[in-house]
Amino acid sequence: MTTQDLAPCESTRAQIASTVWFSVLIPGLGHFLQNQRNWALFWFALCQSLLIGGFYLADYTQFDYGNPLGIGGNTIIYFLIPEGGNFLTTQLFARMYDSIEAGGRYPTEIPWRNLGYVMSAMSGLLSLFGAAHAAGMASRSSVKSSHANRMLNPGTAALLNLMLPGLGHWKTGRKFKGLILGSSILTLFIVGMMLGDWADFDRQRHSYYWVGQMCVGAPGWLSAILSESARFTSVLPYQDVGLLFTTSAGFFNIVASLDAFHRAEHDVLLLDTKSTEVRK
Amino acid sequence: MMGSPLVMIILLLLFSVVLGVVVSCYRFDTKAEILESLPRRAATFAIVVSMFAVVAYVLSAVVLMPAA
Repeated sequence: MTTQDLAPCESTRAQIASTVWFSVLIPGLGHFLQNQRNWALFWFALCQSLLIGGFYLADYTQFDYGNPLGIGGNTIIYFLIPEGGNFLTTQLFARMYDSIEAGGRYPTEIPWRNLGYVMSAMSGLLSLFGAAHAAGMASRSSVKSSHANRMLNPGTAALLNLMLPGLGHWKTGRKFKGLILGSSILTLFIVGMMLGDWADFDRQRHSYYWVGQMCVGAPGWLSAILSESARFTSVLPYQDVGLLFTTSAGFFNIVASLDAFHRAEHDVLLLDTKSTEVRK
Repeated sequence: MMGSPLVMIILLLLFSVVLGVVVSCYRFDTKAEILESLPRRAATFAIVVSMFAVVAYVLSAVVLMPAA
């Protein structure tokens, strides 16, 4: 049976869609609507504390990298990635605070700026993966088989991939896929960092590439913190290639996370099909 | 600063293999299927990028050369 043949029923898909939207709006809301109150509190506290802490540490300079989108001078949405994954709080803060650098025109020394950027970006990404976690719960709860709760939540598989590329596949029993994906993505990221002399992970220099680099997940977040003091001493011959590699590694990790979710959901739905066949 | 063409080819091959791995793993789920499709996907990407590079090089030496 192919993956395309297995899909949650229409009502479950509608529930998953609303869960994702609510989770992106406010982290934990999707869990709350499924009566998963402990998970709701966990995701809410984690994402909001990271976002607010990150904004505070970086003196709200994250808003130098965003754009207000609106009609006739009225801002409807403040476009800021990846913080926008935690949507409502980002919108609220964008209206309450201005960057103290006034659009980057007067750069100031902010000691915890980099840590603040990493924390707020983590909040946005974790909010999106929290939505996947809530969606996985909705998908799993729709399955009639009593064994479904023993299967790995598809959202957890995706989240594990964000923690370490390939780990989500490994935990669902796809050890070869986990190994080859994880080693490939991490090799690309490390080679890219080496080509940039470990100094090309900087939001101020490449704000959009930086978003891609952050998608590598925990190894990327750690690298961003550890390489903060690294500086270029000369123009490097393969610096642009390094930037391309590290950013691509992040986007490849997102593809791998989507695949981990999809395969884990496939396993759960397959279980439902088997139990239906047994009942027949 | 221009890098060595040999190093650029090695870096292109590395990127092509990783891209091939990601695409094959997204498409297939078993080791045999992934390994079977990986060389074709990696080679296709590497060849297409190389062809673009050749076209860009030729154009830069002919019609895009300021003195041409």
